[in-house]
Amino acid sequence: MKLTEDQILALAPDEASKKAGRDLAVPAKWVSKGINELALWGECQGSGSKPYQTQVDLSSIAFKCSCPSRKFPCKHGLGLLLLHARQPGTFAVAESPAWVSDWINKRSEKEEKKTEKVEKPVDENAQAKRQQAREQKVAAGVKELLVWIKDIVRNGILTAPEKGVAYWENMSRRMVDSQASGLSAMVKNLGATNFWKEGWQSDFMDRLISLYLVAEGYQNITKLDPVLQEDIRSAVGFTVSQEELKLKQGVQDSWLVLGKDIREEGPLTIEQNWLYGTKANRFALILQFYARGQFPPLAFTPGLVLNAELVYFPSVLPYRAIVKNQPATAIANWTDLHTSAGWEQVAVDEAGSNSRLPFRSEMPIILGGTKLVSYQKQWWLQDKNGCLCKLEADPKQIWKLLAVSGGEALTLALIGRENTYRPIGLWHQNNYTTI
Amino acid sequence: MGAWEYILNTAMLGTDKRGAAKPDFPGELAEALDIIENAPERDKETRFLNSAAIAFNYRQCGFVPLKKPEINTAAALPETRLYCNERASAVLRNILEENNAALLETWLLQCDQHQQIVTPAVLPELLDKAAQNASLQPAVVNCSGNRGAWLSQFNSAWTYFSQASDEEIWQTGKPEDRVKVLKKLRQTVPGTAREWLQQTWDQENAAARAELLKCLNINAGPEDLPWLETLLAEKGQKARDEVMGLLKKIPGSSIIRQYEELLSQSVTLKKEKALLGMMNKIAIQIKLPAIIDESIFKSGIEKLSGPKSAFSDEQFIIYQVINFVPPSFWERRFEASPQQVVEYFEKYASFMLPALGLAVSHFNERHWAPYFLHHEGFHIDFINMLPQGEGDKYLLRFMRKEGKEIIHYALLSGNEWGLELALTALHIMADHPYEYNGAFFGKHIRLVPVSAISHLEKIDPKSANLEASWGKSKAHLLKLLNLKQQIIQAFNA
Repeated sequence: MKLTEDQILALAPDEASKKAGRDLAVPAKWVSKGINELALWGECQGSGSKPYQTQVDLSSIAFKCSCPSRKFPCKHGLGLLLLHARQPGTFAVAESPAWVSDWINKRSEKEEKKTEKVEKPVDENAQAKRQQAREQKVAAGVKELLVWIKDIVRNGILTAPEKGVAYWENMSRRMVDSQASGLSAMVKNLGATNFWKEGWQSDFMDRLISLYLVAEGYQNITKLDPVLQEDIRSAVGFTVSQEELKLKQGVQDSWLVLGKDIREEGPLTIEQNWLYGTKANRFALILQFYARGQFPPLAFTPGLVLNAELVYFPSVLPYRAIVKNQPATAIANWTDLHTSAGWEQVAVDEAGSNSRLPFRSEMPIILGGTKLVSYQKQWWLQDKNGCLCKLEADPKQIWKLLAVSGGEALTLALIGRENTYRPIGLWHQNNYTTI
Repeated sequence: MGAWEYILNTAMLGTDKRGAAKPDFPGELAEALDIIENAPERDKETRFLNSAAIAFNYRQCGFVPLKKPEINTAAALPETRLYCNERASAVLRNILEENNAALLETWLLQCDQHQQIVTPAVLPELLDKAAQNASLQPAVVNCSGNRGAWLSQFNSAWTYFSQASDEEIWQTGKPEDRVKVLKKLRQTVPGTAREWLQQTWDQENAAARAELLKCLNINAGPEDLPWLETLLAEKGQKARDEVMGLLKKIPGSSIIRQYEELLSQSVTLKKEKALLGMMNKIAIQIKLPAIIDESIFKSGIEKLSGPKSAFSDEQFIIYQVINFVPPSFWERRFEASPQQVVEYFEKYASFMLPALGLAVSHFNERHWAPYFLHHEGFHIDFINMLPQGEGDKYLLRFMRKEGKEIIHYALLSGNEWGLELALTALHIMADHPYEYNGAFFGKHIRLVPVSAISHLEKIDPKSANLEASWGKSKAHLLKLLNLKQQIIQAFNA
């Protein structure tokens, strides 16, 4: 699978790595290099006496390098891939040397072992007791949270911007103590409302009501539909065993990685990857949590198409999913790309989703025939029927979209809600690129 | 007031306070809200939160996009040039990342020469770069195609694409833009530029007059003389100084004629027969006339040479005047070819030779330059007056002796250095890595030829202490040269 320069640079952990990777993408820096259908490898003369051995697993884009860098991928991995993208002719097709084939073999063995892993017998009684104790803790926490929410609405939200960080942090910590990590994050998110923005009240109330709906839903969970119960429990912070989930039937498809968002939260790196099943016309969100500075379990490169089986978490609106098997890269085919018919159709779909799960997170959409138009000193996305929704984007993204479109219609991947959307990527000249 | 606004207003004040009167909600919403309001078992906060949840979901589910089919943005015109290839695009992205204006200029020049344009995605960044660096603007406009011109209308920082005519800018533009227009015009139609300036002269203030007169230095010629001579009576000192400077540049001006007159009276080539007529005895006699027109000294000629000068006052006056007299004067005066004139000065008045060299530079008389190349004095302007190979040789001769001093002048060269000159300069630079650092090479990369890449490894400082610092400079230079090579390869693949 050959990645474009943009796709390779999207893998870089930071700007400095991009720059360093570019500097290494010249043949003179590499003592030896080669390629075959499984791997790409090279030896780069660094500051040490021995050249660094850099290798890339081409079947699923994974890296290994003998350099001491803590960054992942390191500049050598990026440089090697960039050099291959720029000058593929300089790489001799050859049998991989021992240091490459050992690693590739170990990777496939590890993958096999993972699938063969036998689960330890579980003490069901102990598990049930732990579960019951947790339910009680969460219930107590939810009760406290509802009192707190009522206090806010009783006193009015006018003074919310004046409340210090501690106000939100305290309740967030209380929810952690109650083992309701989801509610804790929602409280934090409520405190993170941009109070400087005009119209913050609406944004604040959206968050407060979502929090209330989850808390109130949990208090009345037994009265709810069993699948909706799963959504409530998940929002509260109960996890679903991924091993159990993997035993379920998934959706096999060619999944396009539409985009990703990485954020640091305490010692954790949280990665959101938006995927689109090109055959089933479905979206999926893959979340990855890993320690800061560590490698993510799977590498999702925006713009790449992966052949994989995804299993959705149980939900009235299946969206979050996990990858059941090791994904393999695939060739993109955009001839049958399904797009929304226009904003009116998007509104109908959104209404359907909101009616099923009012506190849901934003989901991507793909909209064809979209033009950028300026109206009332604001950029809008106009569909082919003349309907408009606001474009919420960084000025750089707006200029890029305008430049690429030249005023003509584009097919865009967007994410947002109601009448405001931000771009994730676009299809241009039969290629998908992120914005 | 809609349902959501009512909820927000109530939330702002708090449920303890009496809120605004309830508006008329739409049917299905009013029904749901009534049920909530009439549930006495719930406290007022719960009732409010229940109502808010209903209104929130009602708002989310009921969003209707704005319908404005009449809003339209005209699309960009189709391109008439081809887009540059993928390789060239990748190099351009790397150059933009490197933030190197010199390489960007080289890239744009290649792109323009090959009648190509940049790919659309890179346009915003490129247009921004040109907004910050005006010297890039003409090349960026050429390489942006119709898409760039179309895009520029949406951003006020990119107005340099505007097609305002030169005349319009001259009449109504900002002072710096007017200067640019006048300079541009002076390059192609110098007479028209002068006429435009004459037309607005009375309306210009003193500072603008001086600035605009500077533009006439481009292609200054005898056609400018009649008007310039009238400006000698200008009130403003700065403008008058500019006029004087211009008149000293144009052969045939009153001041140059005055200088020539003085030199005719002061410098004489004497040819006498010696050794019974078997040999010619030649001498250059230098003597100022008894009375000198005092106005000469008001034109910038100094009377006194100063206590530490090797010249006498008389010699010093003549030396200065020779500077401002066209060398062709001596062809007439001595009835000799340029080569002979230089030889006479060299043999019989060598102390005046540098002044003659300066006059060659001053009046841009290129055909005189080769006769000075073997002399001791270094004339900086000769670098760009000589053909490239000759210019390099001239620089090399002095660089080997004087090192850094000549590198300073070599940087003014309009052309890329030849390999030999570049390697000589780099060997000198290796011993001064703090001065010739990454930033230095970033600025002057256009001068270093790509062929130096294969020689760089062998260029090291004499002192081992400087190796680490030079190593960094060298690595940066290598990176820039690689990019330069990639530009050439990308456009000539």
